[in-house]
Amino acid sequence: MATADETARTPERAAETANLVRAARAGDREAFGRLVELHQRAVTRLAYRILGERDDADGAAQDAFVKAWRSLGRFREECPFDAWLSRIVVNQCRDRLKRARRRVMETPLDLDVAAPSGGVANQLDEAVDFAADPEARFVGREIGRKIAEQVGTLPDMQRDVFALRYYEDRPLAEIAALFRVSIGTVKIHLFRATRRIRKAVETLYGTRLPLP
Amino acid sequence: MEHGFPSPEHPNDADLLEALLRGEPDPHLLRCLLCAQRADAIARNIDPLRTESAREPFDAAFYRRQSAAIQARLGVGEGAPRSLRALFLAPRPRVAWAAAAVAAVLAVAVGLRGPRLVGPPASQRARPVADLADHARRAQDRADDRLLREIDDMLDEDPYDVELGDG
Repeated sequence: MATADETARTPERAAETANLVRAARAGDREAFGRLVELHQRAVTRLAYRILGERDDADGAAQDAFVKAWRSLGRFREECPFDAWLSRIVVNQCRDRLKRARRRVMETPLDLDVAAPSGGVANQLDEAVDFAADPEARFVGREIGRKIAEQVGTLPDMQRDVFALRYYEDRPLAEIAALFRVSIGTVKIHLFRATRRIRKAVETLYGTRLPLP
Repeated sequence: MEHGFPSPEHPNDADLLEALLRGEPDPHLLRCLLCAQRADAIARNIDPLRTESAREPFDAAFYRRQSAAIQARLGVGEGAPRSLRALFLAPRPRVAWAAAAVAAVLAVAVGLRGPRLVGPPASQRARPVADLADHARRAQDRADDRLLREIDDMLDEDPYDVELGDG
């Protein structure tokens, strides 16, 4: 059976999303609840990809939906709802990363018990972390976090396109269809976004990343 | 890496990272195993959750709990826009209270100083500001006049009224 998320990209589901958004904007919380069901998997996975920690991802996803409910009045219908939602999630994650960074700087870091984000590394994180070398894992995650922070500073369109492409693995054609632009336009935004992130990473580490 | 680094024939880590972020692997990776391995190592280290096995790290029960938690938060009005009353009556953080206290002290201090007994009257003290505004207005008028004169000059010119040469 297909999950709610897998079917969310079909035209029927897109139409359902549009109807639900209109109802939710009018204050229908049940409609918003259905929107949550339709998009929570994608939103939580996106947060998890960026933050790398289950509880944080859950928190960021919840915050994103609460924020979305509060901001529905400002949502422009010509913009795809899931892209708009992705933007909110990326911002929530960026804020959490910043807060975590501040916490890490304020408290002594014990690599044995604490994940770089400051939270306790959980079993699932360990299970999916294939980098055997702890130092490489640490540096790799730092680079990943740097990338996520940079994504949060990108202009709207670049950020949306990048998040959909890199974090959600959406094909270029699908992103183009979502925004009703050509694939070439998507490529341009993607190019600018990745070039900017690359420069930020290069400024920190040079052209040779400190990975084994 | 055996082919050395840096090497003009091979992409560096920044190139590989950029291609990875763009989702378009460098064509060079198809013919260079070492670079392909390096690209793979970068991808694995910076984003360990990218692999297929980590695609769905949460089960249905998790999503049900999450959905309920979101609804509960909305239920207590967390997502509702804040009213003006709530904005003014909301508990302020300590920094805000401190800032308000400093502002109040400054206001009292300025008030206690009272009106100045020496110096020009208030109507005259306000004049420099009025003069500045007036000056700016006149400068703008002059600039507008210049522009209008230029346009007039331009329109007065007959484009066909040109002195033709002997040829």
